[in-house]
Amino acid sequence: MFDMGKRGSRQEESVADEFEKDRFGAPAPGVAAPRDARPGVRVREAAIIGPSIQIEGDLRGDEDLIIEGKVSGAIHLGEHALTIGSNGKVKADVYANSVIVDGSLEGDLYGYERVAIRKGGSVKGNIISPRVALDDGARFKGTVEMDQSAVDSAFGRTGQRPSGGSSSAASGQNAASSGSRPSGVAATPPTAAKAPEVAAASGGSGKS
Amino acid sequence: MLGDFLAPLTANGPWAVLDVGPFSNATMNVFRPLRCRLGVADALEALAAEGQREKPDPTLYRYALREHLPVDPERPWDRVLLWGLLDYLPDAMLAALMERLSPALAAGARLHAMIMSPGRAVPATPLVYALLDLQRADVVGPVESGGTVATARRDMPQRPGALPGLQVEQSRLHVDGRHEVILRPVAH
Repeated sequence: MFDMGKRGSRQEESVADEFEKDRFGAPAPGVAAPRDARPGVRVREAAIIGPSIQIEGDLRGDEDLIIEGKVSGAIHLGEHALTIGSNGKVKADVYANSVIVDGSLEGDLYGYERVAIRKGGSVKGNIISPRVALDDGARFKGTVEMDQSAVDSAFGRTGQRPSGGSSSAASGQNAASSGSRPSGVAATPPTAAKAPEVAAASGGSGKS
Repeated sequence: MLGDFLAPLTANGPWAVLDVGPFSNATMNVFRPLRCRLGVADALEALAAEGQREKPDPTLYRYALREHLPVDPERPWDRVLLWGLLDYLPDAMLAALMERLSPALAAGARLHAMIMSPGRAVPATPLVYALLDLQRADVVGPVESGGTVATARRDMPQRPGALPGLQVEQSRLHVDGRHEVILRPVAH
């Protein structure tokens, strides 16, 4: 249905470099390091939604994903990484372990580990993640929630961090994405899956 | 003075901070370790453009503010950064701004404004301020400017008065011509 070709999801510059070094600093199952990889920067394969592809509905996956096309609905990648490429246009709430935005995103962005918006990237919505990095030249309008308890609440977790490799414990997104999922990326029609609420954990009132 | 404004954020969180002006990565980097909720309205440029109408129209101002300054009274703000707004926005729009913002201020909220001296030239594209640390903020942009405009010709006592429902708590004139002002809601 759409371009399921694979390509390295190496993020090459700026704030994303720090990402990659952290995420891929140690060899992990399923991670491939090409011969031309730079020291300290590993490359792993990711599914690609190409620039001519348009998807409406929920999109779920158990692997990294790069979006260069248009997606609207919701994106659930559990403990995997999402990259919205420079051609990518996404109108969706996004749930992933880490998210890098090179293109444009309208919607709330839940990054369990990290979120980065690169120069030229644009986000209109709320970011809920303990680590947020935005390049100079990135456009952002919304709220950044960096409190870990709010992040845990949004992901339906109670303080435990991903152990790396165990997808069931950390795939999260409350009950919306629990249960076994087919490997790979699947586009499904919109469902009643409820986006996690973060308001309860945000606090911020009543102090003087 | 900025240190006094931000000092409470270093303890007893979580806190919520709203930056009405343009987004700055430097500002976010300062707030990051505080684990607070940071709102970025990025509203100044759009509001300044709207405010350039020859005839003030509060109805249109309110419409623009609804679009560019989303607020939720159930998630109020403890600190609000109004950097540059008093240089570019007409009184009627500042009044509309406070009308919209007031219900979304937490008890004990404080607002921080940076104002250039009356009549000084500022870039036509609104200034971008950023926090350098918890004690200092400075102008970091715009990189390109479409010329300059004079700041609103209000003298210092009048400018904070242009924000209805607020009163000056602290004020400082810097050598570079900037006024730094901490405001608090009168009713609180």
